[in-house]
Amino acid sequence: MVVTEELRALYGVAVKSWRIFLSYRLWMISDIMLGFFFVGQALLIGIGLTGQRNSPSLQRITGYSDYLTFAVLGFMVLGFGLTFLSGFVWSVVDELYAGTLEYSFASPMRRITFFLGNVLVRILLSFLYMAVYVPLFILIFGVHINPLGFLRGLPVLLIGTVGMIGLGMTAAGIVLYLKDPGPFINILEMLVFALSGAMYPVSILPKPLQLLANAMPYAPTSEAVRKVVAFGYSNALGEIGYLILISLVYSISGYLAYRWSERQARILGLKSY
Amino acid sequence: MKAIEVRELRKSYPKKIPLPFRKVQWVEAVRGISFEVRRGELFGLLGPNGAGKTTTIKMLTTLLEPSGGTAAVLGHDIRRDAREIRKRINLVAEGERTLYWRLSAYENLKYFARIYYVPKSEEKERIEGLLKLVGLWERRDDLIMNYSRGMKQRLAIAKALINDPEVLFLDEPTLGLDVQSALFVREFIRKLVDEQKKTVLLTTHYLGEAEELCDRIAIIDHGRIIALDTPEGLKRLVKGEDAVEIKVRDFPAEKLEKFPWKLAVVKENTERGTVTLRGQVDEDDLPKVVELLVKSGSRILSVEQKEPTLEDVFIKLTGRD
Repeated sequence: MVVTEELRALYGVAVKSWRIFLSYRLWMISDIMLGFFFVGQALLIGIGLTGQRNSPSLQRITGYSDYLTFAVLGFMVLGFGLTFLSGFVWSVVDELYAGTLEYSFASPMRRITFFLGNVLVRILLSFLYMAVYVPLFILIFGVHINPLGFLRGLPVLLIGTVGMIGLGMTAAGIVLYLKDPGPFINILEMLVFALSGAMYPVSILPKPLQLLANAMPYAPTSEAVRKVVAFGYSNALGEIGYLILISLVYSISGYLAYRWSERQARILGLKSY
Repeated sequence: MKAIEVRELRKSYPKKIPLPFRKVQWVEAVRGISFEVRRGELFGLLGPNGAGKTTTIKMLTTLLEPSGGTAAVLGHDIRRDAREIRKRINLVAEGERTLYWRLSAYENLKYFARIYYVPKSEEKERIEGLLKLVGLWERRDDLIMNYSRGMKQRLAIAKALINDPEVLFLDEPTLGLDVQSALFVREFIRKLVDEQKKTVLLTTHYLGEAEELCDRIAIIDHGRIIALDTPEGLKRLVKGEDAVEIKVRDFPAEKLEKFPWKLAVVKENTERGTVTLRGQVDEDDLPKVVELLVKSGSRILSVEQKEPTLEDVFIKLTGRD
């Protein structure tokens, strides 16, 4: 009974979120265009820097010679990963600015249901965009993606997802605490983008940035997915092991951080509490 | 069992968000209030802006954690049993931006039905019934952004009834409404108590509203309850004392603070430059009041003796209008 009630609430949040998203029709177009700009830019940067699309140096570092295929896989992991960060953070901020957060938080629905309901729509969109991107990237840019290898990468992506949810919860907790969360979200999203390893291998970054990139769940997910897609599970055990560890740490610390922030918000009278 | 039991409830807010190495000053918004609300009662928290009414409602609806004291809603502790309380209560918050403007009235209620665990089998019937009850059924598919302020408030009330709550919290439910909408909301609230036997805790700073609607009223000021009784009981506090209304022109309102009598501005007509003052003044003192007003540069337009109202109680207790 309790589970059914919570699932219905989850469905309710997702439907509400979906309808609101649809009421801003241009968002979907701009979201899809973003992917093409990203890949187009990757193609131009790759050619501009190396004079050709295939790079022996990239092959040496990552095992991928085609920079575009490398970047597309990174973009997909990043796009998918950002749905959690954005889902958690923006579900608080959007409703806060709209003035609707209080009514949702005053209901008996669990907070996690509220967040996951909002994230669910973004995941759905993320899959929808992937379904549009993959065939078009193959068709337009000649990206080499082995469908079997791509499917092999999905379980690894799911492991990374656990860590990304943890980071999302931590960020949502910080957003509750901050007076004006806008700049924090911008910095965090830029940091995640720069350190995700989506456009370049993390190993080319200066050492301190490498450490920071590997301390967040995005770059380890990108690297593990790429390795599994290209070389199979047996050659990526180290990456997968590290990803499991970091996901576990983030999921526990994210949960604890959010719980702490939410209690603080109720004690201090922050936001709509 | 009482619907609401509040004992020495306190709430302090920091002036700034506490950070390491930052010395934070705390402001006490609610300073140890105690009251009980019986089942099926319409109880009013009456007070000026910043008196602590909204903070009290937020604590009782489990949105805020108290700094001290205890409170129970339907026998459940607000700290320990928040989710159990939330299932059995609902709230109309202050302000008009509380619903989803980009959704229709029907979609809004559907969302709230789901997050309040309304069974699927009852959802459709309940939404239809509520929209008809508040007179919005014909406009059910319109987006909220196209609704008037009054219609939004009617929908907010329908939303607050979606889980058939035993206790309803209404924070300034008629604030900013036109006369007709305010009348509809007031009649609706009274019906909820009389016909559906709901318990209602209402906050307002409209004295007439409190007097007309509430079975009992707690007057709250600076975070403290300074009087609690039925409207008639409260009016007995000023029984035998004459209420005087003086209409003046060109009155500098800032001089009122220096007057030795508790007078308050109850009406102001800026176009005509007239102000109506009201308060308890002994017959013997009346000429002195008039003299002081004249000396302050005002012109006396009329002086009338009135039957004491809740307004006089409020002025007597707080010294303000």
